[in-house]
Order: sequence, then C-alpha cells, then structure tokens
Amino acid sequence: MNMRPSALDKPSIGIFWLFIAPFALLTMVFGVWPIVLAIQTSFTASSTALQANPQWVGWANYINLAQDPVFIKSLASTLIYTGIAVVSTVVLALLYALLMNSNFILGGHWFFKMAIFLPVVTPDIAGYVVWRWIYDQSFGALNTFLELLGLPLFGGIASVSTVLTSVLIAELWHHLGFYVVIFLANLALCDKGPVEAAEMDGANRWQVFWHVVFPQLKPALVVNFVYALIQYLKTFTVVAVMTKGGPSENTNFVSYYAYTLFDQGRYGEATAMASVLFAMVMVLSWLALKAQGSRRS
Amino acid sequence: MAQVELVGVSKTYDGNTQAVRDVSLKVSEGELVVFVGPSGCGKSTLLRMVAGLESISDGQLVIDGQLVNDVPARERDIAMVFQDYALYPHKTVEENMAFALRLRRISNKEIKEKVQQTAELLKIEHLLQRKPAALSGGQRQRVAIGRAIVRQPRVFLFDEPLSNLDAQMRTEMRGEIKRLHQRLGATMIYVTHDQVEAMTLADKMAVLDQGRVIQFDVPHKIYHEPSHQFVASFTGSPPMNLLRVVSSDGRLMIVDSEAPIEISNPSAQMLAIHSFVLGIRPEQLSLQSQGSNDISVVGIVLLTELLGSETLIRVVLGEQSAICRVHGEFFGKPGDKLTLHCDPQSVHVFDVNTGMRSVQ
Repeated sequence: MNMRPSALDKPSIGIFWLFIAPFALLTMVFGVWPIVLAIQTSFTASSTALQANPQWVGWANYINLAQDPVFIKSLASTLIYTGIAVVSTVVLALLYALLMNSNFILGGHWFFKMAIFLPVVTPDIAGYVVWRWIYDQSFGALNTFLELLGLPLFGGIASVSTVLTSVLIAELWHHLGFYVVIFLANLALCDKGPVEAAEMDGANRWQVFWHVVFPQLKPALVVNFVYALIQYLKTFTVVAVMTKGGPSENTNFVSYYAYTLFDQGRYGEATAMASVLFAMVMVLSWLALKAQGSRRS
Repeated sequence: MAQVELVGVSKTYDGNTQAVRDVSLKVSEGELVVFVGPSGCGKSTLLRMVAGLESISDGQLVIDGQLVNDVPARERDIAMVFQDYALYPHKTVEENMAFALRLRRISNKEIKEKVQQTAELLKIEHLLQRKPAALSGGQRQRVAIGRAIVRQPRVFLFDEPLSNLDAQMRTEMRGEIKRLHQRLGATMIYVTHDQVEAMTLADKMAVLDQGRVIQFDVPHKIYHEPSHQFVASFTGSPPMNLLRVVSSDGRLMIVDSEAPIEISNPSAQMLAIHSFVLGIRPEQLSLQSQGSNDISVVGIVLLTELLGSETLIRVVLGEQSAICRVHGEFFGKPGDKLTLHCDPQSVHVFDVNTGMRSVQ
C-alpha cells in the first residue's frame, strides 16, 4: 500500500498534514532548532556565545579540539567503549531472546521477560546509583560477596582496568531488555515453515539457526545495531552518576566532556564537541543502514 | 525406496485431546498413499508424525523394519513438500534445492549436476538464480517439489501441496505429481482434503474422520464399496445420497415424520432389514426405468444445475432429499413430480446406528 501523500486525493492530503503538523512542529522547535543553534554557537567565542551579537571565530573551536589531548583521549575511549558495548549488547540480547524462544526454558517465560525488561522502565539515575553502591570499595555488595567466598576483590569503578567493564555491565543491565524485546518481536514473525523444512532436509539445531532463522532476523539486527550505536556514542548518564569521567579520565566520554566544558562556560568548544559527536552519530548510522540496504538487494 | 508401517499410532495433546487414534496401516514400497478427510480429521498430524515433526504419543512407526519413533526428523531421510512451500526465503532456487545436499557434504560438482537434472525434470531451469519472492505460486510449488526430489529420499511426504494454487494450476500440478510418482517409483504419502485429488492420485487411500482411519483401500473400492456411510458421503462429487428408510409389512418407506414415501419394488434383501440407511450414488439414479427389477420413488424437483454435459437434479423426498445426475439437459421445472429409478444391485446399505456397511 502506498501511503505517500502524493498517492492520496486532495482532502486526504489535508488530513495527512493535520496529523503530521503537531509532531513536525515539536520536532522542529525542540529537536532541529537547538541543533542548529548549537552548531551556530560552535563557531563563536565562548565569552560572547550567549550575547545577541556573538564574536565569530570560524573553525577555531574545532582546531582547539583537535589539539586538545584530553579530547583525543575522550574520543578514543568513546569509540572503544561504543564498539565493545554495541557488540556485547546485540550479541547478548540475541542470545537471551533465542533462549526465551527455545525449548530449553520449560516454563516461567513471563519471569525471564520481566526480569530483563524491568530495568528498562526503571529510572536510569536510580539504577546507576544502586550500581555505584554495589561496586563501592568499602561497603559494596559485590566485594562483600567476593570476600565471603575468599575470591580476589573487584576494582569496579575505582580501578582504571575495570571501570569500562563496570560501566558496561550497569548499562547492559539497564538497556538489554529493550533490545531483547525487538529480537523477540522479530522471532515471533519468523516463518516456522522453513525451519521445519530445514529439519527435514537434515539440518541440526545450529544449521537451522544459521541458515534459516538468522537471515530472517536481519531487520531486528539492523534496528538494534543502529540504535545501540547511537545510544552508546551518546553515553552520558551512567558516567555522570557513577564515575564523573574518572578514574584518570578513562570514562570521560565525549558527551560528558562536552558537558563539563559547558559547565565551565566554554560554550564554543563544548558545542563544537557536541557537533562532532552529532556528525559521527549521523555518519555511522547512515553507513550502517546503507551497508544493510546493499546486502538486502 | 522404503516401506512405511504404522502400528496403533495415536497422538494425544495435553493429555486428553486425541488428534489421531489408533491408526494402523502399511505403505508398501513405491506406493502412493493418500490420507484424505475433512479439516481437523488428523491427517496432517499423522503425516507430521511420519515426518518426525510431531512426537508419537502411542504406537509404533516402522520404516524399512526399523522402529523410528524416537529418530529425529533430520535423521529419517524423508522429504516433505509443505502446503505453504516453506522455501528458504533468502536463498535462491538453486540454493534451496542444494541445501540438503550441502549438509551432506556432497561435492559441488555433483550437487550442480543433480540440481540441474531435477530442474530440467520440473522445467524450472530458468528460475534457478531467482529468490522465492520472485516466483509465482505454481513455480514455488515446483521448487518445493524439486527440493524434495533432488535428495532422493526414502519417502516423500506431501502436505496439501496444491491447496494454495488456483483450480487450473491445481489440475496441472496434480497430473505432474502423478507422472513424477510413476517416473520415480518412490514411496509417497500425500495429504489432502480434496477427494478428487485423492481419487486421481492414490494407489491406496486412507479416509480419516476424527482421528481414525475409517477405510484404507484402493480408490475403486473406496468409491464403489464404502465401508462406512462417512466414506460414502465424503467421496464422489456430489457425494452419495443417504436416505433413512424403514421396512414393514413388505413395504419400504423413506422415513418422514408426516408422510413416509414408499419405495416401489424393493428387493427381498432390503425388506429383510427393518431400518437402515440406503445409499445411492447420484449417477445411479435415472429418470427412466432400466429393467423390471428397478426400485423407484416419486419426488419433487427442488432445483436443477446444468454442468454442461450433464445436469444435477435435486429432488425432495419428504424431509429428505437426493441428487440425481443425468446426461444432457433436463427440462423439468422446480415443483414438478419426478420418478427416480435405480438398479437394486447398485445400492448400498448402511447400519442406521453404527454407519457401517451391511453385507448384502
């Protein structure tokens, strides 16, 4: 069915715009306009950025960024963290969804679904505060438990070597359910016929999955991959609540670094940084979607 | 090629719903057996048990002398053609057909040869590089059949393979499957709800109702000697007329709460039974008397349907009715009185309580 406005008759076009207008307006005012303003601010001197006639400095803020070792480190850690987080999110969500969909779990599907989805609807700040306590070196539940078992203690968010893992675990706990739901929806839509046909053709469980189920999961894979990419590139709340960018700036991801600069009144550099992040999100998402599109054809 | 034997096979869901009850039958090597029955009769469940896609609750499934109840589907070496084709949507026709062979690690060269030969047999060589989405229903069904044939399995199973096709394509594919069976000489089990398909294809057919096999025999016997009035009412188009009759004082009457209708000239055997169901095929009823022994009854024309070379006349007999199939056209009008004649040798007698055929 073709639902483009051009395919509709005239009164329908009026109704089409009527329904679209409120949301288009909201998007323009609260979505597009701030982005335009931020990009504009990134070309002004921080001291005059909030004035009516700011001083234009061209690419100066961007050049400063490129020469800022903290930003370079921030960018690198953001990309590394995003890479690891996207892969682990998509893979774990897929495994969880497959487990839920398999006959390995005999009952209590509602419990497993609730257990994975409840954190998604939990306020993220509350969740991350609890995780900070769990990781706490003096009274945290995790180390108390490890101590009881006589196992070596976990550095958590206090140690450079474990902080990324710790933050990732907290984020996975919070977000995974969303991705699982997307995979479960796709699995429910999968055609069972070819699965049976493959069994009859002599395929074992793994071959059935790889040759028949997995290719049918491409829509969910693409959605989850792109969404995870966007989400982890923008990682902010978990850092703001748990690590404040530390230790040793290891979790000083771009969006958090931009926020701290903004807090210091360095509006020009902060918005330049945000603009760089925005451009990265746009380009990477576009590339991911394009790669998928070409594979499909 | 293999022999398939079912011994007391049953399927129970949730401990009480019985989809298949105590089915015993044997499919000999190279035979094409059709499971036919109305929807919900358990025919597909029975086929899926043979395939290994459904577990067997009770009884034994024996293929070539080996008990296979607990052998998983992938190890049974049985191919199945599904109603909705169940092609692998992201694979080309060639990959679809080659899939089972690849899993067996057959050499690429041999796979290519086999796929090519099968594609030629089914006239789908020009479709090999296409994906299923780019094929018509008939082409998809050919591919599905090709995917089964290329494996050279021990047994072929067909689960209502033609019911998603239009009438013309169905007739064409029916002929094709019959030719394939003759050519391959393979053991095949075919499920359908269409009795015409069953009659035309089957070496032997099993008529199922409510999970039971009512009759398992060659199509000729199923049609001419139905063992049960269900079989009689399921086969033939239109199916056999079944009239409840009683005999008393040397007269044979069609049961009616107000005015029973007398059947003239009943045979001595008919009069010997008090109450029974009289079965007469529509083509056995005629408008003219064929001999002095003919039984006859007077009814009223309800409606006529001209099929071209023949006409169906629906005749009201009190509270009951019968259909008569005559050659050529019939010029009577609704409401006309009409005398129907029938050779007593061609009627069937069924027990009024059990529905079983009474020996005549």
